[in-house]
Amino acid sequence: MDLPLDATHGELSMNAARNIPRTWLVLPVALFLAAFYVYPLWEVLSLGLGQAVKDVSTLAPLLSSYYPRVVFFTFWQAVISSILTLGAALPGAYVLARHDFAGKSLFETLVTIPFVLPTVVVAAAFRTLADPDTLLGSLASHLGIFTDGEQQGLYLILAAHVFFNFSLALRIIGSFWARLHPAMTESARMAGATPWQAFRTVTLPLLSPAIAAAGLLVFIFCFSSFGVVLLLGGYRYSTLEVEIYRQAAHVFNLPLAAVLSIIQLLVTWGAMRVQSRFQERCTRPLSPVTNIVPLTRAARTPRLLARGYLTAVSLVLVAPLLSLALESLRPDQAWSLAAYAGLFENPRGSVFHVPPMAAMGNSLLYALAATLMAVPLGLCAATFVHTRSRLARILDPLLMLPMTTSAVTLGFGFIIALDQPPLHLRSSWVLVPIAHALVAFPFVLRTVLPALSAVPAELREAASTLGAGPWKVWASIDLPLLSRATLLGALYSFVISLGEFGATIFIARPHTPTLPMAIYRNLSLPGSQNHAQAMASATLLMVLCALCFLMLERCKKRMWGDF
Amino acid sequence: MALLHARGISKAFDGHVALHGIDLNVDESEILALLGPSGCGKTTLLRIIAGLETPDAGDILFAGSDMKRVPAHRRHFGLMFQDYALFPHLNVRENIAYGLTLQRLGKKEIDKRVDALLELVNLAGFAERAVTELSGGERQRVALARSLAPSPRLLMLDEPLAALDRALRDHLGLEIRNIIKKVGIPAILVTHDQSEAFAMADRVAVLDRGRILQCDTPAALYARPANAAVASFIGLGNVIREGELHAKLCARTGRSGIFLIRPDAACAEGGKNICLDARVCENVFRGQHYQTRVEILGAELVFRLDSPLPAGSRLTICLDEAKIQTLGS
Repeated sequence: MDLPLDATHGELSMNAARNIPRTWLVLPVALFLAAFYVYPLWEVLSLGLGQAVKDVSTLAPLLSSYYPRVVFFTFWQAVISSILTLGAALPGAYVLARHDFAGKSLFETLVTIPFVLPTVVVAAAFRTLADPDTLLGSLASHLGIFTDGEQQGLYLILAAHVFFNFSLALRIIGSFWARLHPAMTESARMAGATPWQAFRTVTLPLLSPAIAAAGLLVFIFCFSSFGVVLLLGGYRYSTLEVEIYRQAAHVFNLPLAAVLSIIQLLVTWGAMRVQSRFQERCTRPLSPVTNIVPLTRAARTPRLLARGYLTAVSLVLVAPLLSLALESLRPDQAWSLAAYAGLFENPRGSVFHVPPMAAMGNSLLYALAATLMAVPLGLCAATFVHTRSRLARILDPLLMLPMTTSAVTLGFGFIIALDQPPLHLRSSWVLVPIAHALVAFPFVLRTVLPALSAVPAELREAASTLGAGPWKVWASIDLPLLSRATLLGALYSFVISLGEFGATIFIARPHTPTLPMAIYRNLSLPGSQNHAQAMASATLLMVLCALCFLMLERCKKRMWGDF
Repeated sequence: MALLHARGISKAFDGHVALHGIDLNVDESEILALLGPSGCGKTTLLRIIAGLETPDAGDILFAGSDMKRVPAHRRHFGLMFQDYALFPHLNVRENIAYGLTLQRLGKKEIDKRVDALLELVNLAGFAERAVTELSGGERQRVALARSLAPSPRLLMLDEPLAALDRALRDHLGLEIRNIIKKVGIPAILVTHDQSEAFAMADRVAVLDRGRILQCDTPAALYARPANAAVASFIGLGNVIREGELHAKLCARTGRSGIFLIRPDAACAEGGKNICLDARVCENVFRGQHYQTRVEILGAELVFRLDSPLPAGSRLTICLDEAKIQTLGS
């Protein structure tokens, strides 16, 4: 035997540590959150409450009839948006959970694209639909949709909210529905229930945690919706987010903005608490059975209804995006590429107005920097949460908070908190990627965590018995097995950063705007050249985000193929 | 001189005691099997020796030095996991080379050694395959090669054959034994299968509920099981504790305690035999012999016979007194 099995072994160390100190990995995350989440929000709180004690008169506008109306409108538009979204998604959730059909994965990808699109892009797209001078807009006005009237802004806001959140509700409810055993409704039918009775008495109660979780999440997103309301609501419709922005950035009544922010935070945190309860109930394993029937084998009426639904949803989701792309090719109602040529121009030569392509460059750099921050933060956080220690279980929901916290409040907090030592970053460019990373890292955490749990403990133990120390085990086993999930998280971060608007509008310096900011400026300025620039740059941003999303989907599919 | 000493190893999980003061020795170039039903603590003991668990009490000594403060990755013990735990992101060569890379050997040397190991486990030509494409038997060989690669001072195998189908087991069990013997290192093997333990190990420790009941060579274990639990676990089921038959045996042999009637005890009538009335229940054909179940004085006994007895018939069966043993409780 030619094996040198008599290898001499070095002196044995007295260090008995077997695991990397996973708990300590929370430290960088905690420091980051303390500096860029807790501290800014604390400053907002103390500004608002301090003013209430010191000089109530600046808060007098709160007592006018205007602000209660804004709060009321913010609340009920979010409620209506959630109900509409749930109503639109429920049939789809059923079809996706129970049936297989040609083009299913294409459909799933298509409906998810809106979720990753920047709010300004969606707002710009819906604006074209409301404009009777555009191609699809004239069609819409012929059909009586979004016609110019008092309520036009409201309808546009609701439509955009459903457009955004449709896939979210579809996924949450659909994946839960897929795990409900069909035998449950079948046994209700055997007991003599009509299909409707079986749905009402068996399926609906069973689905209720998923419906509540989806509805509340949509509510939270709509409650803190900013770009959509700012661009589509006009002066008639305003939400808390928009008011915080106006008071802080235009009227400079910072204490009032702070008080509004507090209301905003309390509502979203409260809703988030309730939401996570329902979400927890949804993750309980039901039955592992998946009973998927090809749609072609369904009975005639349900089959035709399902087909009709799928077609209608696809058309409705594509319409605004198509309309936007078409308008970018028709500046001044004539087909040309002039709008794209205009992307490199600065028509008025103003210092605060940069060519959209320059804004695009800024956006890409910010997104890259934000991704480079969000990925390590997310990895650290995921490794920490994976320990399932008591501390981890307490901190886990808190780590998710930045994702659902009002972006405008965060941006506002950044400018009032980070303008003095020890964190004097007000005029530094890093503030933008920091804000983006703050919003994005929970996504990295959520994509990496399942992959981390999927790594069997024996792999780490095997590496350890082969002589790998704790850090070596982490680097040679955990890290490579997490690479796809990490890439996924990185792509999410990139897309989130590309589209972030609410916080960016506060903290980006005017001469280095991001692309969403440039689109917003162009949309709010009069003139056909501005309009054309807005259309072309919004289309560009849409294509960029959609491409990132397609890469993300591919990467996701390959990931599940492995485990 | 024993290489590995385990002294008074105890371990409890959430108040449930898994191991009660285990003492165990493994000699140089000896294969020891830990045999026991699932939940008897054998895997826990293996993991404690590997350094993957810490015992509540007791010491592990290897070549005279205490392993208490030595972490798993510095013990230089190899462990082959039950479901192999091959690294899915590495191919066959990279899996086997994993431990060698950690020893900072040169690439040439590593390649040479991996090739030699592949040859040893009969997988020459598999080096560049993805481990996800391998069959169960091939995975097992890769796992064995990987655990042997860094020249461990002790090899441990956790249920090495459990994940394989029956046909492969006998063959691979012997092959693993031969490979370990060729390499010449001590090995500890965990299994719940008596025939696997007897075929592969030099000595077998029978574990039950966290205690070692008996530790001996397979032949000695089979010839002289220390107690009823060991006897029934190694497939000697005719244990008589009480009843009419027990009384009869006490009277006839002049002995007391628990009796074990070995399956080959049934014989022709003769001088020193104990002959009793029996009813034949059934015959099961086992290839080399018949396994025949009979009822004698209210007790059910199983015998190994060359030819079947007529089922349902009543006849006299004689037992060779030399094959009736008394056991400790």
